[in-house]
Amino acid sequence: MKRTVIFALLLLPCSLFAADLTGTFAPGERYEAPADHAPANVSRMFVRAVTNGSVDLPAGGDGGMIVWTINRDGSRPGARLTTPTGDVLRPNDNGSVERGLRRFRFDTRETGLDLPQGTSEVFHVARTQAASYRLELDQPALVVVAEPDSPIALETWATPLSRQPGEPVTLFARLTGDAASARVTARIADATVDLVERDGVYTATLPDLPNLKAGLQQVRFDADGETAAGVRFARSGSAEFVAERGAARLVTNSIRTSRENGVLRVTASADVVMPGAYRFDVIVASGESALAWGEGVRQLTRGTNELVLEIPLTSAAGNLQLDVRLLGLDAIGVAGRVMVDVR
Amino acid sequence: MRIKRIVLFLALILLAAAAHAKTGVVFIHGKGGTDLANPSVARAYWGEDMIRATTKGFTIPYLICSYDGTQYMWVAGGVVAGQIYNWMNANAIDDIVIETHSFGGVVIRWILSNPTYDSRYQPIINRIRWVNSIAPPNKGSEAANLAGTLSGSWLTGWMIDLVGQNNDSTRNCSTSSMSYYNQYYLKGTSGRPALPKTIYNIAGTGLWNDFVHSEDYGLATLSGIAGMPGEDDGMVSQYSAQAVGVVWFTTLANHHHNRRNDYRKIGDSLATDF
Repeated sequence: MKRTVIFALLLLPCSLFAADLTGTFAPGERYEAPADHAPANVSRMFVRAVTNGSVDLPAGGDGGMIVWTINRDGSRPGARLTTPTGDVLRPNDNGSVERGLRRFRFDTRETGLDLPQGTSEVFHVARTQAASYRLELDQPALVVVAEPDSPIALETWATPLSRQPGEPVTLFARLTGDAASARVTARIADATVDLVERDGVYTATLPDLPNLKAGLQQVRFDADGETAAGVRFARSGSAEFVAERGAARLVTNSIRTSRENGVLRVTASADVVMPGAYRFDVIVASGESALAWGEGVRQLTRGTNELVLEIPLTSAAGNLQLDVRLLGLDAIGVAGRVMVDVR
Repeated sequence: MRIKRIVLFLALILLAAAAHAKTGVVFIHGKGGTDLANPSVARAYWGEDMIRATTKGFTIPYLICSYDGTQYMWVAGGVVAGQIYNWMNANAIDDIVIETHSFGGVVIRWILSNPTYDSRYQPIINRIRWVNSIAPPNKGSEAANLAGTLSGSWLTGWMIDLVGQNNDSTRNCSTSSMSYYNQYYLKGTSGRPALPKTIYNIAGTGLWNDFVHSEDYGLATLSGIAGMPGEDDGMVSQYSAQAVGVVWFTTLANHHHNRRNDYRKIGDSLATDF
């Protein structure tokens, strides 16, 4: 009996980490810290919700233009497009390549997006004039206009990509091309904010967003402006970040390491608000090189929990950087992340 | 002489193992409607000729996974894992080639990246030979970003009715979401741990496949409006599809056609695995 108990006790440390996974990176693999924001969304299009029957569509005169209309009830649209030179594409007119003005219709479901079932209508202007086009609609519709060849693009992003409760969110926008002046606004949750331009970058910092629900947040940007030549333009864009739940946090100064017999042992404390399954992740790097990684699922209880992970490490590198993470599994989301230098 | 014997011995072991392996193929579709949870709808997603070609005239055991195409990857992954797990055990399949299209490639990456998330994942991973991933949005899709721009809380009244709220699978596929998941939950992109099995990717680079039918106008419009960088298939850019795994080949078939065996005989290429 005694022997059995001792044997079982000997097995215990192994069983504690039985579900843990570890591995090494390929030689030469670079360590990449999580980016502070997602790659900027680049937009050469703008969106208009048309309720009163007609809308002016500014064009830059530097390439083609696509005008996509989606009717409110998904019915077959019959819009009328008037060019700055007075050419009119009437509802029953499909245009031609020779006129540089064409109309197409397709089933909206073919886009694969969550749009209403029905027929979409697309106008294609082969080469725009630097002036406004007029679109007249027989019923309310969403109008999406793109100038794919235009040098004027709206680049948008938001930081941080993983935002813990109470952290400020900063919105960024940049206009490329010949954009001389513009008003850039952003809409997040129920608030609309003006972005302020400095050195070509428009920003707005939101110190707190108390009513933000947890999960992916989408920010909508709109820019209206003029080029140096006085040509109007409009652009719409979006950016996203994840509002974390604040389910738990890694205690920053709690991370300890020891290294023995080719094994790196990492311990940390986590303060848990929402008990459940979490994953304790560690990436080991030295300088720019990624060396090894380990991860293990832990069932954490409310309050302070101690985390332990053992990672085989054959590298003789003396200066290590640990990228320590606590990830939610019951609800997906980053609970905490800490960088630690080990000397 | 001794080395020759060892090589011969190893070859015999491999041959014996291969002789006992029972190979099967699993199809995992992309995002779409809730009706993709219906097996007949999931089958139609691929088209009969794609399934026939890939399975060499239905001679290779196969499973067509069916899941609600509006859900996040971890929800879809659970459904898919359940189907694969039951099928491989019931049929003693121990060598699985996975064929995915679009978001299906993200779903299988979720499974491969998180083997401890679900007790069925690791047994499945153990039996996977490799994954052929057609047009996977590994770094997201600018078309999914467009859905975010068109819908959302800034719209009121009838506009919400019009564009709806983009669903979880679309949100999962935005470039921001995939940037987030690639950094924390998914493996296989640069700087992240390697996946336990190899993914061979097939990127679509064509838009206009079918001039007679208007089907391609939607994708061409989407490509023009969403502003996809480089080449794309109307829904997924080449850079995104090729961000994980080994490039197998590219195809001029667009996002509608690269899950079928029509405009380009992709099913015939997949069948070369067997």
